[in-house]
Amino acid sequence: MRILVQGCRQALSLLLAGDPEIWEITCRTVAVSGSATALSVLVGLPLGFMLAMRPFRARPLVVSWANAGMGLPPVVVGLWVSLMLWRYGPLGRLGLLYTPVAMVLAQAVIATPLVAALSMAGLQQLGERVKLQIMALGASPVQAVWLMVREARYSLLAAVMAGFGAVVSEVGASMMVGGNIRGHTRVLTTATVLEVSKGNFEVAIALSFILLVLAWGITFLLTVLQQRNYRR
Amino acid sequence: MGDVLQARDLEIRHGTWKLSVPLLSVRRGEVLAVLGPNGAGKTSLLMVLAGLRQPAAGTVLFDGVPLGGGRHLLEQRRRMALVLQDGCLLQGTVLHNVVLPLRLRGVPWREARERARRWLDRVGALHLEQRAAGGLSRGEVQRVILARALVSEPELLLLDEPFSGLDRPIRQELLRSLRALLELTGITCIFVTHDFAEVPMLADRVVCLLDGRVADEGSPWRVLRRPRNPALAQFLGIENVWPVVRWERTNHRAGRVWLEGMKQALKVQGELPRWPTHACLPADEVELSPDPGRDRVASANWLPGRVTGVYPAGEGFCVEVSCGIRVLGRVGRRAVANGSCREGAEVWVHLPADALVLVGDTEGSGGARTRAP
Amino acid sequence: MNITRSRQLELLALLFVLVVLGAACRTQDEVLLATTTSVHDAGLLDELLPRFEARTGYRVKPLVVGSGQALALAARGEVDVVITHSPQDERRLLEEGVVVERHLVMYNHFVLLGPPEDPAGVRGLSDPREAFRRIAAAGAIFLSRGDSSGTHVKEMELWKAAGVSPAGAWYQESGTGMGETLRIASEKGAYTLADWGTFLALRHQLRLEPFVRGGSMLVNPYHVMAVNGARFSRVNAEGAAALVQFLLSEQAQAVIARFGTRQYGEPLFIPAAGLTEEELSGGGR
Repeated sequence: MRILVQGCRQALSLLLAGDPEIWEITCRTVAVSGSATALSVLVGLPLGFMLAMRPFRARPLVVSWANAGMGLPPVVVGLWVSLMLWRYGPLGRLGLLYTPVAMVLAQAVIATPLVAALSMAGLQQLGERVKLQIMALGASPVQAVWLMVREARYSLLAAVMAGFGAVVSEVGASMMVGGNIRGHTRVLTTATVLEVSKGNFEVAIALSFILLVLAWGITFLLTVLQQRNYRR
Repeated sequence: MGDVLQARDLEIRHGTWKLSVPLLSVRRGEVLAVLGPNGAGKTSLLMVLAGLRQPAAGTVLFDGVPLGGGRHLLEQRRRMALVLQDGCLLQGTVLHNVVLPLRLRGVPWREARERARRWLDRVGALHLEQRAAGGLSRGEVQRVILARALVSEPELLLLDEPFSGLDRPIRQELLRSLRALLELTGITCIFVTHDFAEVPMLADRVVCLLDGRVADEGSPWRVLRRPRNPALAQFLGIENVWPVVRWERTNHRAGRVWLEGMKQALKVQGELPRWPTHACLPADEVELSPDPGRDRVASANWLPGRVTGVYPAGEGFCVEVSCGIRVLGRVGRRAVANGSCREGAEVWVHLPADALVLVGDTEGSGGARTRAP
Repeated sequence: MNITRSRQLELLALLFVLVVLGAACRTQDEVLLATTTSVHDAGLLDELLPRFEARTGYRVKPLVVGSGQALALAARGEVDVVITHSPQDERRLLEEGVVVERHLVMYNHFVLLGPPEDPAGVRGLSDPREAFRRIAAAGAIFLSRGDSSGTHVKEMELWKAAGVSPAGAWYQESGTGMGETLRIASEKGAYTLADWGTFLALRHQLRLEPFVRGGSMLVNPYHVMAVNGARFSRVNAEGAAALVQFLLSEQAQAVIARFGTRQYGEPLFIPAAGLTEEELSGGGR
C-alpha cells in the first residue's frame, strides 16, 4: 500500500517535472507506432477496399486470413520478423534488427490485418447500393474510390485507430525486434517492463499513466467519432 | 430530331434469366415509360442503358455513338443522370449533395453552388439547403435526389421506380413536380415502373416488358386499355379475361363474340384484332342491376346471373357473379348494405360493348389455330 | 473532390516511413553489445557507454538478455560483443572460435537469499553446498531462474556439487530476469540464488535476507568477449575490439570500482582487468 501511494505520488511529480527521458520515450512510442500504423494503412486500406469491392476467387481465403490476423499474437510476429532480420537471416544485409525500423515493420505486420479486416467491414456496410449511387452521379473510378472513403470515413478512422491502439500497447514484438535499447528502441511498454524488473516502480507507474492516457485518448476519440456517425 | 438513345438486339442475362429487347429508342424530348412486373428486368435494362452494366449481346447508341469503354464511357455517362430505385443521399449537407455531380464534372465551386441552389429552388427544396442529409423526411430526400439528378442538366434522365415506397399523397405530389420539371426542361427521359397508374401521368410512350420480352409498345392509353394478350391484361389489372369460342365481324368497327360457357353472343365495338382469343373487361366497367328493365336488356349485353361472392376491395366491394361465365364487378357500400348484392341474390350484369376489348394471343395471330368466324 | 489533399497525406506518410528507415540504416559505426540484466539493470552501462561513445564515436546498442541468450546470439554472429557471467559456456565458445578475445572485466559474488524465518536453517553456514542440501532436505521453497542465465548455470553447478538433483513441489522456476525473480522469491518466502549487485540494488524492496555469501564457490566473474570477425562477415570487429579495449582500460575500471558506492555504500562490482579466473577463485572477499 505504501509503495502504491508513494509510487503514484512520485510518478506524478516525474511527469509534471517533464523528465526528459520519459518524454523522449513517449515521443518515440508515438512516432514508431504512428509510422507502423501509417504503413499498415498504406497496405491494409487498399487490401480492405479490394476485399470489400472486388469479388475474386481467393477472396474467402484472404478474408479468413485477415480475420485470423486480427488475433495474431505479437510475440509470434516478433519472432518471425526477428528471424527475417537476423544478421544472417534473409534480410540481414539491411541491418535492421534492433532498430526502430524493425519495430515499425513488426508493428505494421500486427496492425495490417486489423486495418484490412475492419476497413473491409466498414466499406461492406456501405454496400453495393452506395457504390452504385456514386457511379450513377457520374464519378470516375478514382473519384468513386475517394467518395467511398469519404462515406466510410468514420469506420475507416476507427480501423486506423484500432490498429494504432493495438501496436502502441504491444510489448512482445517490440521487445524482441527492438531490443529495448535506451535512447534508440525503448518505447513505453518495453520501458515499463524494464523499470518493473529494475524495481523502479515510480517510473513504471509514470510510464503506465502515459500509456493509459494514450489508450484512453484513442478510445475517447473513437467513441466521439462513432457517436457522430450514429447521429448522422 | 433523332433518337437520343437507341438500343439494338439487347440481350441481358442473369443466371438462367434472360431479357431480349430487339429495339428500344427514345426521341429527343420524349418521355418513355418502361412498364413491367417486379423481376421483369427493368432495372437491369436501365443499368445497361446507363452504361453501368454490360449486356450479354447488342449495342446501345447514345446520341448516335455506341456506349464505349473507359474514358469515353465516362464522358457519355456524365451526359446522363440516373436516379436509382433505392437512391440515397451521401453524408453532408443537402447543398453538398446537389453540388456533387457538378464538382465531379469539374465545375468550379462557386458556379456549382449557384446552379445547385437554382435546382433546389425548382424542386421546392431550397429551404433545406443547409440541412444534414441524414435528417430529412423521405419526401424531402426524393426532392433533393431529383435536384441532384437534374443539376448537371443531362441530355437523358433515367429514373428507376423513382418514388416507389412513398406514401400515396407524397408520391402524387412528387409525380406532379416531376411532370412540371420535364415539361419545363423538355428533357428526354426514360423511367421504369411497375405501377401502371404512373404511366399516363408522365409518359408519351410506354414499353411493356413481360416474361423476358417486349410484350407491347405504344401510347399509354392504347397499351393500358387495349392490351395485346391475356397475360398483359392480367398484369395491367384487368379483372375479367374470358376465352373466346367464336366470333364474327359485323362491320370494320363492330362484331359479336361467343365466350366459353355462354350460349348468348355479346356485342363488341371498337377495333378488332385479326384473331381474337380473349375478351377483357375491367371490373369497374361492369354494371350491376337487380332489374334493368326489358328495353335495356334487349338492346345491350345484359346477362342474368346469381351473386356467388362479395369481397371488400378498395373503397367499395368486389362482386362475383355467375352467369355462365364468371364476372367480377365493382359496387359501392350502399348496394351491399341494402341487400341487392348479397350472396345468392339474382342480378343482371351489363358488359358494355364499347368497353369490352378483344385481344389476340401474339402467337395465335399467325393463324395457326382455326377458329372459324 | 479533394483528391489532391488525400494524395498529399499519403505522400507525407510515405515520407515519414522513409525518413525513419533512412535514419536507422547507419550500421557501420554501431556496436551491438549483448549483456546480462545484472550488468544493465543496476545502471553500470549507462555510466560506461557514454564515455566510450564520446571517446571513439561508436554508438553502442546494448541488448539486455540472459547470459544463455547472449552467448547464443554471439554463436550466430548476431552481436559484436558480449559481457556474460557463465564461464563454462564462455570457454566453449572461445574453443569453438566463435569469440576471439575473452577477458575478465570485473566480478562480484553470488549470494544465497531466503526469508528471514529461515525454515531450512541455513543461517551462519559458509558452505553453499551444505545450505543447498538443507534446503532440499527441508523441502523449503527454492526459486530458480530457470533461464540458462549465468546465475542459473551457477545454481545448477552448486546443486551438482551438493549431490542433490533438485525436483519436486519445493523447486520452482520463475523463467524471468534477476530482479523479477527476487521479487517473486520475496513474495513467496522462497530461497534463491542471486548476484550481489542486483540484490543490493533491490534490497530495500525485498523481504529476503542474505545467508551464504562470499567464498570461492560463489565468485561471479564477468567476462567480455569480442565475436570473431573473421568468421562472421557482418560483425563489426573493429568496434568490438575498441569496446573490449575500453572496458579493460584504467578509465573504465575506475568507473566500475566507484559504481554504486554512493548509493549502496559499497561497489556493486569489483574491477578485475588483468586478473585470471584462477587468481579470482583463490582470493575472494
